[in-house]
Amino acid sequence: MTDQMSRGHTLCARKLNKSYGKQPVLHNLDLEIEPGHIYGLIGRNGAGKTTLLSILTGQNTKNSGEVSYGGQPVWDNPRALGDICFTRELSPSSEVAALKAEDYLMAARLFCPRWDADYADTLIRKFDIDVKKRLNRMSKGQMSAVTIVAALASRAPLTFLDEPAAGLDVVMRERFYRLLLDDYAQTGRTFVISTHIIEEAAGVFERVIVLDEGRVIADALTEDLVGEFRYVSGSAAAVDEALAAGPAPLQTQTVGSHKIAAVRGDDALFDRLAANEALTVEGMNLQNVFVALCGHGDEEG
Amino acid sequence: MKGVLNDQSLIYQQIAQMLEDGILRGEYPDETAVPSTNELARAFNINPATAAKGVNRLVEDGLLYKRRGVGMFVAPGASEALRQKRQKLFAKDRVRDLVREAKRLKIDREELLQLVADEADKEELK
Amino acid sequence: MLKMLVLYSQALLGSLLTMVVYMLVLVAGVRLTDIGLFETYIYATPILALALPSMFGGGTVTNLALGFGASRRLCYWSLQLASLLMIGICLAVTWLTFHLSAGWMTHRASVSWTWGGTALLFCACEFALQSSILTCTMEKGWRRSLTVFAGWGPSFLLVMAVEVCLLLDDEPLFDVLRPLNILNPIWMTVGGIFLAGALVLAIIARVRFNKLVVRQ
Repeated sequence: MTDQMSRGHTLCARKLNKSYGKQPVLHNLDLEIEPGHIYGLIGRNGAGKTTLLSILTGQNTKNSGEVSYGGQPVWDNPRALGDICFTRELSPSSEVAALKAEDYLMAARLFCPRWDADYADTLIRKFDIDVKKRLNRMSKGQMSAVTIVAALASRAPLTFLDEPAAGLDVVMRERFYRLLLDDYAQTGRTFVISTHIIEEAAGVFERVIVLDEGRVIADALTEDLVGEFRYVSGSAAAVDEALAAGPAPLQTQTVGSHKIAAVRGDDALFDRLAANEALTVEGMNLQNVFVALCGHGDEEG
Repeated sequence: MKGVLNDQSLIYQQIAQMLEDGILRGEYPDETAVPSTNELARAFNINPATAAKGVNRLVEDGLLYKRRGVGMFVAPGASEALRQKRQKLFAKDRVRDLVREAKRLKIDREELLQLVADEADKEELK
Repeated sequence: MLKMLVLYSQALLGSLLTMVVYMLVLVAGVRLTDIGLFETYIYATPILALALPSMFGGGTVTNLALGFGASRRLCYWSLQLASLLMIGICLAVTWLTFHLSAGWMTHRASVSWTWGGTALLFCACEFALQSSILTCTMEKGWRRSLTVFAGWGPSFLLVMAVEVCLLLDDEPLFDVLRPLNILNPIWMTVGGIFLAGALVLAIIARVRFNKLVVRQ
């Protein structure tokens, strides 16, 4: 049962600009996070993911632009912030890491209006967390687990997680996705998850936002985006000829006289290319698409 | 386990394919229930919306229908309808690849037809 | 507001308990024994009372609270309130320490640590405290340490000046500084300067709080 109230409002970012000193990080960025979906936020290191998330959640300042939640500005607005939860990747050197896990979670409990203590306890057991331990004395996986507990148990209608899976091993990651999907199935809350580990999580994200050098270069249903891309391969000559008129490939790889091109287009184009005997047309996964989009035309071979 | 899904086509298409295959093979006879969206999502660790999209494709094709409060059921005649749909695509999906591969291997028309006939005998295709 | 107070108070609890224990030990010591050391340490009580506000590290708690959506305005005022309570307790403990030991101390100056001394101690503590509050908006580094020192330093000197006046009450040189009372124009001015300084720091801190960014 999804409680309409618990699904929250739309988070709107308009013309966001952010620079650290002279270094611009976000450029005239527009984004809308609509309630009730799981978003993946993917981008290379330094693309501005953490900065974007911290500005969207009112934790960081911006140079210009506005961020509003349900029509109200987010900055220092307790009503908006009560619906929003943002958990960051904790590093052992951060000052918060000097605290014990239970202190960190207590702060979460105090400031998240919908905190679900039973759920938190269940998660603590599932991840086998020793709450009396200081965060900086835990393994990276355990630290990630603590932030995940805070994010999930917050039951916030709009929950942001910054690299939640970074410290977890593959088994724990699968467990995390499972927990996330169970929570989503139960509550329909909105999740925005930034991650490096793209392909594993691709099935979890209904929508994907691709951030490249401070700009949103894609914001769509994951499957719609992935469906626009194919690998077209064959002899270099055949590939070049076929694509001469059509769209320029985003990325190519040549091995001997064999060439593989990553191409973006529509079904009509791909049907036409597939009809060409000399070519093989294959699907790409989200990770491949990401590399094609953000690799900036790397040519190999 | 998600391992069953591949890169070659979109997840929702694979879900749809899986359900269609199930219907064709008789795993889901007419008027029986197919797995729910949530069950599918759980089984493959994917977003329920994606699973739903796959299921909806079958609904749009008239192969499944919704019994409110109960779930998705196989429409009567679904298996037959599916057969016809796949027959139409058979040439493009399978035969073309077969012929192209034969061409690559320099198997001529007569040989190919003979191979197909032999295989049909083995599998007792009438 | 209450939640923030709870969080900040937790951070203070340890130091406050230390102070109370300190007081109990000293008072018991000076009353029950002849060891002069206790009396010496009683005179050091104001310095301890100053040390606590100076070292008030609310930065991590603030960062954490902001990270979970607390408002900056709320944090600032909770911080001010919690720390004011802390100063109140420090002053009360100091006053009690002297008061309860009065009859057992060898030096009669101890009797004069009443409202005059306490008021000046308040000014000193506030100045040091506002400096600490300001550091809640700063990242670890030399600037932060410098701010702490700049707050504690002058306050320490003030407290020392008061102590010296108390102890050297025979010394005619210091007659102009007596009575050791807030109504004495010299002390009023000094106290006023410290409070004005505290106010300035408090305003700067408020402005910085408004733009505070949650740190990693």
